[in-house]
Amino acid sequence: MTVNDATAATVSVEGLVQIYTVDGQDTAALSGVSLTVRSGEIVALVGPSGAGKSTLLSVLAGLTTPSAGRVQIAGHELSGKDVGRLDSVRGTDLAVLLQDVSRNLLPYLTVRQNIELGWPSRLARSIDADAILDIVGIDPKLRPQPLQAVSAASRQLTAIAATLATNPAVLLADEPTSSLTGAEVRAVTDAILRANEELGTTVIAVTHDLDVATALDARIITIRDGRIRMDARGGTTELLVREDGSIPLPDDLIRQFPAGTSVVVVPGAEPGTFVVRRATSEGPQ
Amino acid sequence: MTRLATIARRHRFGHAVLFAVTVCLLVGTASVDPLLTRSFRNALITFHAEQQGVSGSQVQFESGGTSPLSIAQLEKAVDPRVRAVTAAPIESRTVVVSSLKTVQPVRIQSTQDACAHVHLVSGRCPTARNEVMVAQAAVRGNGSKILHLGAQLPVTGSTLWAGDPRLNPRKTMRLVGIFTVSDDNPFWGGTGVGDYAPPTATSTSPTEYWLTPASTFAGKVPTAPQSQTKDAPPGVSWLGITSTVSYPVLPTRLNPQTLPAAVAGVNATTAKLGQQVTVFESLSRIQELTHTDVRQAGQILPFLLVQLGVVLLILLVQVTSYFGTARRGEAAVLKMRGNGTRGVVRFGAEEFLPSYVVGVVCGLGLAYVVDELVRRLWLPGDVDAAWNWTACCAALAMATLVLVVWLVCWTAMARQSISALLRVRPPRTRGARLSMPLAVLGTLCLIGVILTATKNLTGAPVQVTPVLLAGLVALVVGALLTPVAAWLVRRLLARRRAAGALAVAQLGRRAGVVTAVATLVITSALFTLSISQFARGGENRAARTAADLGAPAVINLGTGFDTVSGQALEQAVNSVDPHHRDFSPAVGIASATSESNAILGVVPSDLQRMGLRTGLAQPIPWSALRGGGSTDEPTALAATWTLPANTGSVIQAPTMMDVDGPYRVVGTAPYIPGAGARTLVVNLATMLASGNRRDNVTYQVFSATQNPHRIAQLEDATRKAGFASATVQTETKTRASYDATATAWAMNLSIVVSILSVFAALTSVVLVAVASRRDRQSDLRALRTGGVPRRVARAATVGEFALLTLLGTVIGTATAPLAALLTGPTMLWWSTPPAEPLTRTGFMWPVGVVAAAVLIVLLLVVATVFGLRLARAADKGEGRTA
Repeated sequence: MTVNDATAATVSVEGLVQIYTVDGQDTAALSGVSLTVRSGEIVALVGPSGAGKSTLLSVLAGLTTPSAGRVQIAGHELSGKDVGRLDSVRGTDLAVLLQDVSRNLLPYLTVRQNIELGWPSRLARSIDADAILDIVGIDPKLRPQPLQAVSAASRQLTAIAATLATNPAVLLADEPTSSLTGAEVRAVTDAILRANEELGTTVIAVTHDLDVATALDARIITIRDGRIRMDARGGTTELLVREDGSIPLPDDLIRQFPAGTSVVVVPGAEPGTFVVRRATSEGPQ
Repeated sequence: MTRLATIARRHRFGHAVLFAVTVCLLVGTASVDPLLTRSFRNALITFHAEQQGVSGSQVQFESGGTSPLSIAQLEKAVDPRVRAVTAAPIESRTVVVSSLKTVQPVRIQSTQDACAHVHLVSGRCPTARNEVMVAQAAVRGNGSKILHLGAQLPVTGSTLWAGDPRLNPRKTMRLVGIFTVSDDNPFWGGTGVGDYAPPTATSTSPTEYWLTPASTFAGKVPTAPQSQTKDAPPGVSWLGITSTVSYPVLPTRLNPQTLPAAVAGVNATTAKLGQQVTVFESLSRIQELTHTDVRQAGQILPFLLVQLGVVLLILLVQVTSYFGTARRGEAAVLKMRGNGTRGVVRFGAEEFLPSYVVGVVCGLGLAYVVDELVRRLWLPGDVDAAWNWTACCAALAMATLVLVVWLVCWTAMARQSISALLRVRPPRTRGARLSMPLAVLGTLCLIGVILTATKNLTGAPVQVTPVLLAGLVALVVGALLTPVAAWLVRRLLARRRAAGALAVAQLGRRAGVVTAVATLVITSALFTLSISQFARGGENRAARTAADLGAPAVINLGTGFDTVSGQALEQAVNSVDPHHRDFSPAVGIASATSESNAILGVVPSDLQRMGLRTGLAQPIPWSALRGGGSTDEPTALAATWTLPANTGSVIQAPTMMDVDGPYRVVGTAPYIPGAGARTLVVNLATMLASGNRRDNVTYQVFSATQNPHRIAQLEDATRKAGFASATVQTETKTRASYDATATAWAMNLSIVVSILSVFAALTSVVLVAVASRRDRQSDLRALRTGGVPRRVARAATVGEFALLTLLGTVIGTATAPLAALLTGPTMLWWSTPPAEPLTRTGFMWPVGVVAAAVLIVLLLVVATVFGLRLARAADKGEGRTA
């Protein structure tokens, strides 16, 4: 198990609570979520519907004001008062890909125009539409086409290209492969992987499809009932040390280490690693 | 961003057009006010200038007597302000002489360019000294034996100016031409050079004009006795030559600025020339007739156009809000790309800037086109178009207001967070709700209504009260719409009326419905009220015209220098109409003072017949005057509007014996047609029997016909009786003068304004439909999924728009009578306060109800057809989605 240093993270969430009020009833969508994501990392937020993953993404994207907790993204602290403060750094530090592809694009523009236009002048100069369209893999023949004339996958790739056009530090993608199938899904995941590889973009994607998470070779964070239940990558589970020194465990580890279990922590073979073992009656080994 | 805005504009060309049209109408409404005000004012002045006829078409400065001023002296003294509104002067010299052959006084006149303004029947134009031409009428009157070409006509100068009759030189004129003159030729300024007035026993006026060249007047004024049997030597002129300089008035140069200046110029000239000069001019009369109208045109039009402006401003808010709502998704995208609020506002500004500019320019152009059409098709006179800086300033002011409204609406949308923008449309409201701005607006409306009801707001500003009242009603309706709709839905559902419940439910929750209903309420109220006022105004003007004259025509007779009598008038009338079928004589004593009243002597039986023909509502007790009473205490009728008299009371008034005397009132009426303020109407026979007064006596003939031939016969008869002139005032002419007033024109214009307002309201309804298109498709999908039959869903859609229109128009038209009740007593019905109690101010129910019904049915049909199309379109949309 590896414990990350939160100060070096691109995204840092600590004790995030999000409460909605529906018909006078308070409902907790997120209950004390803590998370760090390093620069260049790909994170897949997975979980069942209503688990809170889209809410988490919305908070990270600065679209929803958190009820409580601390969120820092790309060096910007999100206070609980002003989510609009992030508007000025969108495009450079933060990009959001919404689930409905049409909400990411301007319908009356062509594929290329959707990349080139709609940016403030401070960002417009740095945009190389062909380069980013190459990265996401859109055929040059499709680039002058109106948006309505291209396939759903191409529209999604255009949306990804548009969000990445200004080379943002973090890409927050909500269900980037929804309503796509087979080869289309692969095209999208390949595009995200290439962007991550070539641009170094940190990606946090919400998906309900584990295959997508796997295809992205992502660190998988499972969210259920508003809590992070598992944070794993290639058999390694990451845990966050809370301010009070406690370490919340995901469900699968809790099953192995039920409450009251005594554990021993010993230095691992590599520097900065530790091995956690259940303590035996003989004492730590 | 500019390129994006350009593409977006092309993609939504309809939005650009709608915005441009809205801006155009608003700017046009604002800028047309100064233009129309100018046109109204100028047309009023031109109309009254033309109404003065040929006799009032010149400003004449006349100098005669023993030491007349020369023409050069007269011209030099004329003020430049007079010359600014007149054409080049016409110089004339005249002298009254006695014709020895006809033994009649004749007027020899030399007028510059006279020959160009007569039609020569025979002979030629006189060119040499002592040559003359005479009118064909004079030849007929005198006989061709006396007046024939080549005739030698000895004349002697008038004795009027000579202390010694022997100073009058004798000269012989030679007749070289016979002419006729068109009566409507303004060159002659109404002088009857082509007429012949038969001599009467008492008349000393010249019977005819002899036109001659200027050389006839050359020479020195005789100072020594002249031979009365031989012609005077060529170097001797006449005594008593009158010099006249006539300046033809150019009506097109008269306007609210030049007219008062010209009147001041006339006064200055008169003061400068002193008693030596007599001035004949109509400019003062024109100013007197128009100054109230001119002032009121500047008050009525702005307030009238404010009504349209308010409706269009509501439409602008709705249009701009709709544009903002339609771009919420784009605004979210732009914000996610790093554009803040300013970026979104800039995007909107760049998209709409061309429409805005086009709208402003076209609005200004539209104002000029409307002004041109109004002047050409409606207003009398030939008022020229002119560039108007005030109109430009008004256009700029409205353009700025539009900009502010757009900026407020757009910024309100752009400032929202991305998550709020992603909701696509604003959240629906529940329950009665009134925002702070609307509450303030409602309070202002209420204050305006209360001020009008308490008569603290009167005159032209009252025209805005119907808008305030309708606005107040609309605000109340808007605030209560949602909860009432919810209540109604529950009731309808309880009665299993699904389609109705759905229609009401949709109506209660659609965005923009409240604005559309408000617009419909205001415009329907304005439309119905305008129609009512238009009809009421026409009725009032017709009644007042009939009351003013008392007959289809009135011939007012001038006495000139001759003395005439009432008996002479009776004889003249009897000579052409013995049974008084067409004409009835009347004699008045116009000497109403603070202590005394005026008298009008009439033939009661004649006026009873003529009064019935004019169709006045109030019966006049003419029969009570039949006896006439005694000459010591004649009976009289009193109009109670200015004479607080009762039947049986005795009132002092002038008599034909030149002193005041008692009159016993035998009948009253609110108003007696033909009788002016503080005038007692008496029996003519009794009046004339009581004395033979001459001063302050007026003569007129009530005519039951406007037949020019019959009236000409009467004019001839009165001239023979010694009356110098006759002015015919017809009902048509009087009505025309009432119709050509700022108040009457404003009532006509209000119809146009209200029709335009109705179109604006229809646009508002269309906007609701377009803006709720996605909502409707979504609703229909949900309804279909929930098992609601397509027929019911379609009926609900049609019902929604029918209800929307019905709600707005019914409440609006129902507001109109209340608005009439509030504003009628204090609004401007007349350009000058009516002197008679003939003005009815209430709602014109028959016309108003018909107008309301037509409007409701028309809009209902339009809404139903529109609703059907929407239902079909929604069905198709649903099909595609499925």
